[in-house]
Amino acid sequence: MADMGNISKTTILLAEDDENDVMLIKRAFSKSHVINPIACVKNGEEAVAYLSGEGQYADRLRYPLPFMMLLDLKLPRLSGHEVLSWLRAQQGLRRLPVVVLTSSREPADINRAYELGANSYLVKPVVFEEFSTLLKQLQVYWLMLSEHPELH
Amino acid sequence: MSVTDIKLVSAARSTGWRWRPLSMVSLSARGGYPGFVVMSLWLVLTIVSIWWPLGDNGLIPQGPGFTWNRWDWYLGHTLLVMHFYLPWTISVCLVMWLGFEWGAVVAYLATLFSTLYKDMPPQIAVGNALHNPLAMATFFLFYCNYKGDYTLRSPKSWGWFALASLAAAFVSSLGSFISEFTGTALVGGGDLLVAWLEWVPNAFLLSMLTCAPFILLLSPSIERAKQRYLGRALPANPYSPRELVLAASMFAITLVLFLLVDDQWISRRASTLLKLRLPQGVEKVIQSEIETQRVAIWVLALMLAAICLGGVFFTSRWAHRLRMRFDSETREARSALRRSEANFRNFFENNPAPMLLYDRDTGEYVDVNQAAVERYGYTRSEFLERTVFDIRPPEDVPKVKAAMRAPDYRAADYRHTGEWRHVTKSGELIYVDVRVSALTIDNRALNLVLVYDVSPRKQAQVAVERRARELQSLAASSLEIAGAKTVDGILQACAERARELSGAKIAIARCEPQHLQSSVADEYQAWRAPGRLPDTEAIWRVLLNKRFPQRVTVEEVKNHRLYPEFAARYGRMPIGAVLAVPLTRSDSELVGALIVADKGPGDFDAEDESILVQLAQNASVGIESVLLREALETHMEELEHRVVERTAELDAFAYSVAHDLRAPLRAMHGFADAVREDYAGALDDAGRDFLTRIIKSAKNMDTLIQDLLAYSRIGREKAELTAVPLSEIVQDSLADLQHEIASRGARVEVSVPPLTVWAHKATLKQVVVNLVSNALKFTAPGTTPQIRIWAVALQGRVELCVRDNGIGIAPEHRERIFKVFERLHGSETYPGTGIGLSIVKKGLASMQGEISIESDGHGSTFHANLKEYRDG
Repeated sequence: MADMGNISKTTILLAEDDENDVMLIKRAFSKSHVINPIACVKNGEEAVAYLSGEGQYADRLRYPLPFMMLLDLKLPRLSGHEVLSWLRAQQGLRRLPVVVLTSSREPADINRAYELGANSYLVKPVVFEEFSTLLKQLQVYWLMLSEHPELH
Repeated sequence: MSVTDIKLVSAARSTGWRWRPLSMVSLSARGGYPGFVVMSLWLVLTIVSIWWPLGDNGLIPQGPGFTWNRWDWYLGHTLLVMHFYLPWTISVCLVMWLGFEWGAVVAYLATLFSTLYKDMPPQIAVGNALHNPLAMATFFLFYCNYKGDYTLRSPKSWGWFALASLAAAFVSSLGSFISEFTGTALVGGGDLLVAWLEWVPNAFLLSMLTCAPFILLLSPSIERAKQRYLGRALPANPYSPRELVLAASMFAITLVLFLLVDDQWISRRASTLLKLRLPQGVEKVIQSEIETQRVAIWVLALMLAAICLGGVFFTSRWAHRLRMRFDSETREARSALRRSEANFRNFFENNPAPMLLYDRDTGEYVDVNQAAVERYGYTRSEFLERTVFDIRPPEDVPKVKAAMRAPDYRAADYRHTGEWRHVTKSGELIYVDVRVSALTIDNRALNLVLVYDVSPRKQAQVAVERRARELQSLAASSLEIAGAKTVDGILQACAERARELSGAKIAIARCEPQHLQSSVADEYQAWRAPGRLPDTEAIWRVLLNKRFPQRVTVEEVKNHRLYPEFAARYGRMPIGAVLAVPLTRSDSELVGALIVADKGPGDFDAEDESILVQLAQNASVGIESVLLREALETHMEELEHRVVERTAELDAFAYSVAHDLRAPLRAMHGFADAVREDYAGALDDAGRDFLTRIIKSAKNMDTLIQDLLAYSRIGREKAELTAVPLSEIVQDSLADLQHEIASRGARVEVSVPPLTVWAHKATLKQVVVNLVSNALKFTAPGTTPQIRIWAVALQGRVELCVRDNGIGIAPEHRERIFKVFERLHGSETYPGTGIGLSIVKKGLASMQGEISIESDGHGSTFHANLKEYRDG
């Protein structure tokens, strides 16, 4: 369990349906020298399945619990808000830090995300450098400075 | 029945005056005080007067003339006349013909003087004292029980007179019987009865002789006195000649008889005396006394005859005159009475106003006129069986009784007693104005009432008052209806007002399809529940069919074929009359009905109908407006719902724009960037330039999208205004623009005092940012931007001004620059989306602010005007 715990402490779960964005985010992470493994899910249901360890995601060695989740709001099947709402209701997972990473700057979206318990709300910048900077700062803040809660 | 009849009735009812001198002697019969007092007085005085001379106390002067002389007394007719007969005659006249009972005192007192002689033996005194009272009592006992006239105008009257006189003579002569019995008789013979009877003829005749002339002489004046003082119409007229002849001859016969009897009597008495052994000298005295007496008797007889003849002569002439006068007076009086009666009769009988004559004390009707019979419906005889209380409503009777007890009821001869309520035989209540005159007919106090029937006036007044109340109520109902928010509220108000206005006990207001409200009087409380109310379906169907108000009388309801079923269904509830009025829409479509039922025993009238029609119209208008309002509200809600839906759609669209359009941009930008970074060496300059252009275009597009979103957000979101410190916002905005300011090397001068404005913080910040960036942007090439920002407070408004040293805006463009996508310059010279100033204008508008612009060749000044926030 200790190993799993270690692994789980390094994995970032990225819930993003846009292939381009996934690629760009991964590239930005690598540009920022973020070496944490990144697990991707394509939609809200998959995100829920991953987090609850259902189906293929039951194998926690391959799909370890993440220490942080990057969550797009506009996801197919289950929206980011719904995933967030579900997550905060889960006994063991509710403490997982969630950073909303979305293209919406709508106050309604922002407010709702924070109401549902998002830890941070970031708007995807179009300009790539800014994106890299953003992810770098994110990594520094969440991966290095913050202490992580226990998840099970 | 005439007024004369009334007099008879009245006389029979009142206790008529009846002259009863018998009370003089029969004390117990009437308990009359004069007889009793006189007798008691006489008794006391008699005892005193008998006792008095015995004591010889010297108080009464006892001169020689008053010394009792037995011889004198024995023969003394003069004394007898003086003491007994003359006073007695006076008393008889006073009592009998004048009805003056105290007249008896004369006779009684006179007898007392007959006891006051010095040395008179007590037995004689007692006999004397009893003489007159006993004689009078006897005389009255006989004579007063005779029912005819007492004025000696008929043989029968004379007969009774003689009989009474004889009886009185018997009684008054008891004195001699007592003298003989007690041994005090001067000439005792021991024969008591003879001694008594010896006096009777003399006394009888003398009594008649002394009374008759006075009666004959005084009769006419007595008649007149009685007429005047007692107010009695007597049947007696003055004597006719025949009656006078009768009286004269009767008197003459009596006189002759008396002279014969008395002469005999004196002779006998004298011879009896002379047979006695008398003292010397006495004999002589007696002889002379006998002569004197004889002369005296003759003188007396002649005097009486003269009086009688003079009386007859005088009376006959006087009587004639009197008779003439009496006759004419009577004729006049009768004709005057007839005239006055006829006038009164005419006035009374033909008066168009009802007149009622009633007894002031008992309230019994005595007479009524034809108008009263017609107005009240009672026949005359039915009226005479009733009292004033019988023609009143029962609740008014105490008031009438109180009025009859009031002091002015008897005081005034004429009174206007004001307005009263009467009830006719048919039970109709009428209002009358009453005037009362006090009359006295046959000694009976009557009230003559003149009745003015003011019912029409009263009814008009009541109608006017009712109309006023109705209008008031109608006006109030209009307000209630206007104030009611729902159809049920209107129907409820309508039902209550309808019941109030019509006086019905049940009111039901219904409006199709399913509204029903009712108002039910307290006495029908049990029927208040909706299920228990009378079913109005049938009435509704009739209204639908006929389309105008329906009035049904009590009779019609009772005779309706369905009534027994209805009565069985609703138990004891009396339905009474029914009035149903339709509620009609403005397009004359029937929408409901207003139904009132049961006005007690009465029916609904045309006035009820018209007032209810007005009420129904009010209600109809009210209902229609409520229905319209409800429809409008529904429509509004629908619209609002659609707006919300549209807004949501728009939100979704904006979201899509934000999310979905930017995603490809990001990809374009990101991968172009990746190519430039990772494969820069594989590209020549042209290739790198293309990449740069791709990246730049993507950035521009992103800005455009962001601006569009910002613009649409301002329109969509309702800005909640709060107090916002202006200088803080300006500082924040400048901080946001710091990079841009620095990159352009702009000089920004800020002098914003600490003012607070009503604003939405984010929107205001956006406005300021846009204004400043606008100022930064539009400067001539090669010019350093100089920006001055200041604010002033003016009349509750705050003006934020941003001044630049830019290229300025021509007046014709000053409106255009605030429109979306309006650009004055090509994007090459001044890049931008053309949305910035539109956001400023729209943002300010959403905060009740406005934007204005001043511009010249040296730059432009934007004035953003906002409402100032002040504490309190």
